[in-house]
Amino acid sequence: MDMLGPETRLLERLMSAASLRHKVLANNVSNQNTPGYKRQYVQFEELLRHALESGEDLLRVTPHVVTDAVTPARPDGNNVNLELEESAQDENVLLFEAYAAILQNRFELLQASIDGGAR
Amino acid sequence: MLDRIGQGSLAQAAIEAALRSQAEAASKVQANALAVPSAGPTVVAGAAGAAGFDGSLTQVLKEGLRAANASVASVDRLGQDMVAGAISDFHELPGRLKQAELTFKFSMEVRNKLIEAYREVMRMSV
Amino acid sequence: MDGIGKLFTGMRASATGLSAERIRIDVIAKNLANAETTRTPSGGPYRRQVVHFEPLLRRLEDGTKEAAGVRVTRVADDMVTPLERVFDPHHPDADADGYVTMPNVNATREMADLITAMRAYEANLSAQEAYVRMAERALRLAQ
Repeated sequence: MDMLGPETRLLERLMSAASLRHKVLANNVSNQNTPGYKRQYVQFEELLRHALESGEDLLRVTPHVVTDAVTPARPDGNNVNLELEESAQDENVLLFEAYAAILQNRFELLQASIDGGAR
Repeated sequence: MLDRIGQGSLAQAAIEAALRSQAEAASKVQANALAVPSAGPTVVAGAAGAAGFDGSLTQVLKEGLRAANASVASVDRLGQDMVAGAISDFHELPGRLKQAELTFKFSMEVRNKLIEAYREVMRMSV
Repeated sequence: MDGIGKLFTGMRASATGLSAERIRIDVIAKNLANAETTRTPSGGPYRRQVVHFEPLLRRLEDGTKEAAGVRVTRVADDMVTPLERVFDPHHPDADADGYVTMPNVNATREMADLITAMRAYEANLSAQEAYVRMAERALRLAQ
């Protein structure tokens, strides 16, 4: 008996993708001075949008880790821009908190529907 | 308890009526779980509404007890699962805990309604 | 790491970054301290040291490799930057022509590297703290 519903599943997947994104951004930051290192990033929300537009099942979309070979590199071959990584990290934390807030609200509504609706 | 109520059709019918209304409330909870507001179109679900509440007394009771036990067991397993590496992200924990909590509370609501209905019937029989 | 360590993979890269940058900071400090050392125990002037970084890769259960931060492969002498010969006949280590071979340490360059390393250290620390914040927010959902 699934008490949480598919919307909860989607929110959980959004949070997992944000968690993966943090891991990838943190790895970029740790390698900001490694010669030859190319930054990576995570795509998920954009993929979800495409799925929404084409009517596909959102729960089947998975996050992609992409290597950025486009951003130009410094002489040592490293293309990590620290300021951009830090901005991306701040954005990601806010996204995570937003998803958490929605999920929290959802839990509270589900709780109330059991306490209130069953009487 | 069910045997004591006996095969008496009046008592049985009263209990089943009370449980039918509880089953309706149950499907309302399921509907709420699916329809709680989201920004866009609802996610393609699958058999999400298949809770199987058809109002039969034994069936509801059994399902409730099974669900309550399963939810307690799943929480007990959580520590083990963490150590075994089955949990990769911290936000998986609240999901599992809430699922167990809501299942358990719902089962308790069903049980409470059952007792209420039984008491109603006993009052009527006097 | 498997098992319970799986919950912390998001934080591990930051830890390796902190460790690597800390080593770099220590090496820069050593370079600066030895900018005038003309006589080392092994003979000859001090040679600037550099830290070599490489991405750290972790092998997963399915055999694939996953990026897991950075590692210091070695701390080695800088054999590229030339040593400086300075005319100073009164120096105790001056040769017959009055020249001293000085370390190849340029204080300005070391300071620039130090600032880069410290900035990197701070960025890794902030990433680690952000991870903890996110985890705490997630756990609060269970209340």
